[in-house]
Amino acid sequence: MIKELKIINKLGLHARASSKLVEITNKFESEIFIEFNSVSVNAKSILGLLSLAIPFGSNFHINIKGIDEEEALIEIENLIKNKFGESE
Amino acid sequence: MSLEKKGIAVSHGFITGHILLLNQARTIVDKKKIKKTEIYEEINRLQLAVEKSIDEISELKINSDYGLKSEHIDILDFNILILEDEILASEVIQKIKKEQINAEWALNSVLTDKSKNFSNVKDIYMQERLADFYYIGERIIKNLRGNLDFSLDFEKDSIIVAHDLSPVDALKYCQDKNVIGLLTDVGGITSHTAIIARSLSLPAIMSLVDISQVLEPGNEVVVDGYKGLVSWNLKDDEKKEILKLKKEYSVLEENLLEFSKLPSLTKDGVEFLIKANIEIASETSSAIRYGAQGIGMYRTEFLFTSKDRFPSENEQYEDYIKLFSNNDFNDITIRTLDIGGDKLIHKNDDEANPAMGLRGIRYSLSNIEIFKNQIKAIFRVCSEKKKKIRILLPMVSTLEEIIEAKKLIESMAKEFDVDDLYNIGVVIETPSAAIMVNEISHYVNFLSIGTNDLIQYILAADRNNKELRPILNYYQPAVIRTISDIVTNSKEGTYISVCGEMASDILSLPLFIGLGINELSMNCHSIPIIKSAINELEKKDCENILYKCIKKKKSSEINTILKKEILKKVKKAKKIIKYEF
Repeated sequence: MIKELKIINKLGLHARASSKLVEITNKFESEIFIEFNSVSVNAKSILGLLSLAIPFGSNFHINIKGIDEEEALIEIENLIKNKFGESE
Repeated sequence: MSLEKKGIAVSHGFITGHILLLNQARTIVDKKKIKKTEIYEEINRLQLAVEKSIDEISELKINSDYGLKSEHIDILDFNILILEDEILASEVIQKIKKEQINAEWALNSVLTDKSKNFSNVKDIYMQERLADFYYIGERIIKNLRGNLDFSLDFEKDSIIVAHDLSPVDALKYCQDKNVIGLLTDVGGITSHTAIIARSLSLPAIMSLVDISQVLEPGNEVVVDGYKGLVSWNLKDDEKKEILKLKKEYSVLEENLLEFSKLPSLTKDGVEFLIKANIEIASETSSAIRYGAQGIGMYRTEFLFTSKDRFPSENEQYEDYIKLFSNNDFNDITIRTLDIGGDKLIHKNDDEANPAMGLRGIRYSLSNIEIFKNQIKAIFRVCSEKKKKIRILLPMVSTLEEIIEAKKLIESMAKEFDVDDLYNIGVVIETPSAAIMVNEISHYVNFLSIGTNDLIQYILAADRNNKELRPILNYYQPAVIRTISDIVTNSKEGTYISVCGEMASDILSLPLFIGLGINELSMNCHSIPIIKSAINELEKKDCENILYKCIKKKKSSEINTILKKEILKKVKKAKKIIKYEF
């Protein structure tokens, strides 16, 4: 499944946010890829995510494939909606 | 424009030199071809090095000396995530396989590739993460090379600048004769790195916040290790001004040496023994130079941690015997191994709270062969030199520990026939030992109050935690009352020394004199000024000062009283101590 999501925390997808995202993606069996500015990276790799450096307000695509893809999407969406636990 | 930064002067001296940034020293990686049959081994080597790196960081998380905040944990976790990154690992492994090259080179080129992605990113914050890549790469490469610490060639007059420097690294690098000073972002006066700097007579300033970021490689800096001031980018006239200051300081230094020859008697003729705390046996020469009347504490940890294994009995014997060369000290105090706390642990068992863990006598009694070896080495020296050695047991918290250690030492003394050539003492540094001091004093020949740990345990405040500085001070009523209780509750006539950093604090001096402490043991540098101050104080006055202080309820009140009294009474050392507070 492919879905478009938006980064709404002020700092963007920086180190701490990426760490949190990677912790979640690694819990799931499914293959998870994130595409931004026509670059696609494995969302289980902190190095991949960091190299995207998705800034505040940007849209990106997430592509999840596997047995637990639905649960994975819910958790990822929640994390992003909650601004990675940051105040703004 | 000239620039300056102020920190805490942890070791005095005035120097000019050029800086060497230690954090940024990069490791050079060479490219090697490997055979097809070696690929498996190479991958295995990489994986072990990565695992070791993860362990090291995890360990730091658990055993960190500093009060870790959530953001520190985040940074460490971030580092671990990069190390655990399977994409990174698989890319490096692919490179090793495909190009048949060594792991170091493969890792370096993958990381370089990755960092290129980052340099396109405009976000400065993100670009700063590049530094993390380098550190991580460095760490893995270090571990690939079998954890050999890199050695450095220092040019003449190098001043080491680092964010932080572990005691072991400090000892390793600062002993180089070309290294003349040390500047760090973090750390304080009682950190072991500071203690080492003082022990090496190496001017050092710590808590400079971001000095390792601000200075550029090769910068010429002036280090005023009296005021805690670093300055650079100086104009010619400013340089001239500074050189004048340097001269002034050297006059002061001469005064200090003159003071060192003074007897340590109060104005009304009461004698105190002023001795030196040392870390390395060869420091006895600077102890003599600064006027020490003996070695009040030889810390043996560095002997134990400076190699990748514990020293043998024979190696220890050869080290301890050096304590008696070129001097006529009558007795020397050797503190048995005090491993743990923020002194690097050699054989690391994971401890969540090492400062309260298996350290000091606790470690010795549960590693009895290590303890026996140390006592044997000490007794061989006693027996050969026919000189007395005082054995000081650290981190004692129960009477049982003392009884057990004493029994062992006594039976070994019989074997070596050195019954009259040793004394046993304990460091009073835990609240329980302070409470039980009366009973303890009946079992030992002397007591030594270890103020550094005693203060942190009484106040339940980590001495390396910068946020706690306002609480952590010598003048807390609870600290002063505890020290006073230790003296009053000990058996009549017990020989008591003070061996922590507080012993070198001029403001605390009237309290120790008032209490009738027998001996103060401190870093060599502080000896002359303390001697000179003792000469100007009277026991009777000090008793009154003590009486006044002990009734006070706040540390600020005690501090004010002491400052006033010292400024009034201590005249000779005044021009020097104006740089101290």
